[in-house]
Amino acid sequence: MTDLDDSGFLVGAIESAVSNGEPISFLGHGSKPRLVENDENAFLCTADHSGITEYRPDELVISARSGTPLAEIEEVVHAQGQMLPSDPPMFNRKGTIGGAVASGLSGPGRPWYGSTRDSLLGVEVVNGKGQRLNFGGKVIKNVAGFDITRLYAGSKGTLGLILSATFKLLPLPELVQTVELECSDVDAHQVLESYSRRPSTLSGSCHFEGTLYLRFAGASSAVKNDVEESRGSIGTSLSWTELRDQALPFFGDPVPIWRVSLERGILFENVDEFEVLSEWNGSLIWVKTPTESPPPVSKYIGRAEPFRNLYLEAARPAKYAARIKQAFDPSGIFEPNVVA
Amino acid sequence: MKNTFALELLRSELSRHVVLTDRHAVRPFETDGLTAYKETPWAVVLAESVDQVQSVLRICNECRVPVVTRGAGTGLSGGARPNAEGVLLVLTKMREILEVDLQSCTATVEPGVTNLAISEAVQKHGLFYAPDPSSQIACSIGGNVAENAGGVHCLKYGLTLHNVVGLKVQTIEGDELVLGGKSYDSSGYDYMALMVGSEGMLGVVTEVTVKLLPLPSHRIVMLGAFRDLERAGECVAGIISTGLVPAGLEMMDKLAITAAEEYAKVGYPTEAEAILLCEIDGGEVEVEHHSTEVEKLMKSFGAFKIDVAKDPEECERLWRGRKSAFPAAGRIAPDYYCMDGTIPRRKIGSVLSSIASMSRKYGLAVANVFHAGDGNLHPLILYDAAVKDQQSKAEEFGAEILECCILAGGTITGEHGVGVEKIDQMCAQFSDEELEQFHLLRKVFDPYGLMNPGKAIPTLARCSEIGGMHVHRGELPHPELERF
Repeated sequence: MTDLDDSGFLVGAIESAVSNGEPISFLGHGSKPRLVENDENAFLCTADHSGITEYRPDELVISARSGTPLAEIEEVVHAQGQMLPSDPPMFNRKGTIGGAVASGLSGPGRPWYGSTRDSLLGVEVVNGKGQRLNFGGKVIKNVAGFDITRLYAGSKGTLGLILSATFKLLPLPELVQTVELECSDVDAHQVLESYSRRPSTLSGSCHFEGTLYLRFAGASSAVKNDVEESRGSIGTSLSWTELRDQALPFFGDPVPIWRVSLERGILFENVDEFEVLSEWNGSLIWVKTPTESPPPVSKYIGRAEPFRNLYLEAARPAKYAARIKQAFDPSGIFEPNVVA
Repeated sequence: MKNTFALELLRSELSRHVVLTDRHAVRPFETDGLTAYKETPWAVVLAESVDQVQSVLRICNECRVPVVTRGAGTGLSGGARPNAEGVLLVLTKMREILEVDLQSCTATVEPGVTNLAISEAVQKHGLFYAPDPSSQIACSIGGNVAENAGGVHCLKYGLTLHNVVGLKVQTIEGDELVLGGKSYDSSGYDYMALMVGSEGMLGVVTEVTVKLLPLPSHRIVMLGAFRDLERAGECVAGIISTGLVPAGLEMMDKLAITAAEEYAKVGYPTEAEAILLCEIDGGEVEVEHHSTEVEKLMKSFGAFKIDVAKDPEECERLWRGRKSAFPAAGRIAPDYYCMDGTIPRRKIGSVLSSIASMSRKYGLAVANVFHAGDGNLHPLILYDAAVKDQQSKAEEFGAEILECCILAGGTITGEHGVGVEKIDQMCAQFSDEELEQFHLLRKVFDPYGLMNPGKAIPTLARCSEIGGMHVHRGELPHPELERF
């Protein structure tokens, strides 16, 4: 575990990029697929700016420098019986906390535990003037000023460098069990819908190749009760960690993979027989396509985003997005090819 | 002059009965829930539709007239205090529940719908809307969004921010922003996060889609009575650190207990120095199990009496005292001033002691009633505005409490918003560069600064004028000096 404050170097690098008008991209350990092809900008690497700066288990709050690997944070908080609620993907185990904030990605428990943005309490950032700014804080309720903290979640590096982040934690559930049910996507949809209107310990769902996997987590008595009522068999063939990190064989193919986000409660009918895997109560669907054209989602209320082996098309940001960018990065040097 | 022209436009575009300018007609709108701050609005528009909202915004933008948006006016920070030269845009007439969607477990409502009306409308489906500010019977969801309202159940269910999934927002430049929605994420910048808690400065919310949760099947409310305030504070940290997530965890001190008991007669132990109210909800087995643990913890931290309520009426009785604490304080003093600082939970005991010393220093009593599980304090400073200097003393006292919260590593407001009330303390919490970033962000949505001007974000000039010191990450210049 490293503990190094590299912020002096990082801020200096941004200051000089600002004064020279040089575009700059940010990189942790390169765990996530790049968003744009042939990125020719200089990369500013946060990997050395690493270490947990404050962790108080009794407060359920942790602060860490942006280059801190999520794996390290997970190890430390698990040892205290706690977890990052949104369980952000680490991909090759190298994903950093800064990358989790910048990408805004959340793990399989997102519908139940909230998103990475939801549990983010504070950030320290460097804007496009080279100023170090603190927003949010280390307490769970804070409404002083606009919520710039959460604006940085999912900002994809376009608003500046995240130097550190503070997250709220949750106690680890007493018991976690996975139930497997053989069923079609239509049946899986029905099962999941029945859970949405009654209290249960459901905290993860995945449907893939004719099997629905349900994760129950919480007080052991309640989990046992839910497992029994589900009438499925307890299984161990799906690793939720591998699902989170896209380490399942499904994600290994070098074919285009789309991330399809649907309105809650809508059934994705896979009429074109693409290979698909769904999570988040069936609302997040990973779709493999044989070509680079997106899967047809227009008839649903949802959208498809390129994720792996695909790149974003160059686009002009809309009116307010362009102004937000201008407000934080007046000379337009941060990730100029990315539109958040 | 510009106002006369704006008024002509408002009257020609909107039905006459929605535009009020008569002194007697606009007088009832001169204050929100923070009654110490009053201002008579120049004009009031009681909007009945999105079209009317858009017209008001367009006219105000063209004529450079300030516009202050207001819901039910229950806010506690003066955020909806009118502007003497501006329009007060009131949204309480827009109160339709537009859709309850059981497939996605969401409800879509107009901004004037009251917080409680949502839960009441979906109760028959076994669902509820979780955030429940004390004013839930009256406060509107639009105002909840503008303030990022909390309540006694935020500890488990989160703030408004965590429970709103979609918004329609009208900008002063005439754009309708459709934000979020029924999917779990959206592309692009998180405008929703910006709008929630923006105190009416970035746009006007005209439609809100909220997440509905299944009503828990069981709940237990426990009251623990303590002879020592600090021990009760420690018990809060003790409960949280064991890994329990109570639905609510509230604390009241002696003065608050006595006032609430006199007012509501719910059987609170008036001999106690402090009480904790802890609600556990969920499945039957889980609730039984967790409440036994809480009971043990309360005993180990010195609770001399523990009341356990299992049936709904008993639970309601225990909560009724807590929920009537504010009006109860209103009975023991002519005026009270409610603060909203939030601190790390482990500092509860020490900050309460500091507040007690300040109380002696200013000669004003304080009743403490607050969301202990969230570390969100609500000291009620009791005073009498009719007595010379008491109002200004109470304000000074409040300001000192907030600075104490920042020093403890917390924030000046947990759920009530900055409004006009805490604007000076923003100078202590944020640096000039941070405040400047807020101003730049504001200009993104409101280039002329017409929406709720003078609230929430102080100008740098104001900060340098009051000469307050900026507390950087809990580090104050000259930490060796004693401050109360």
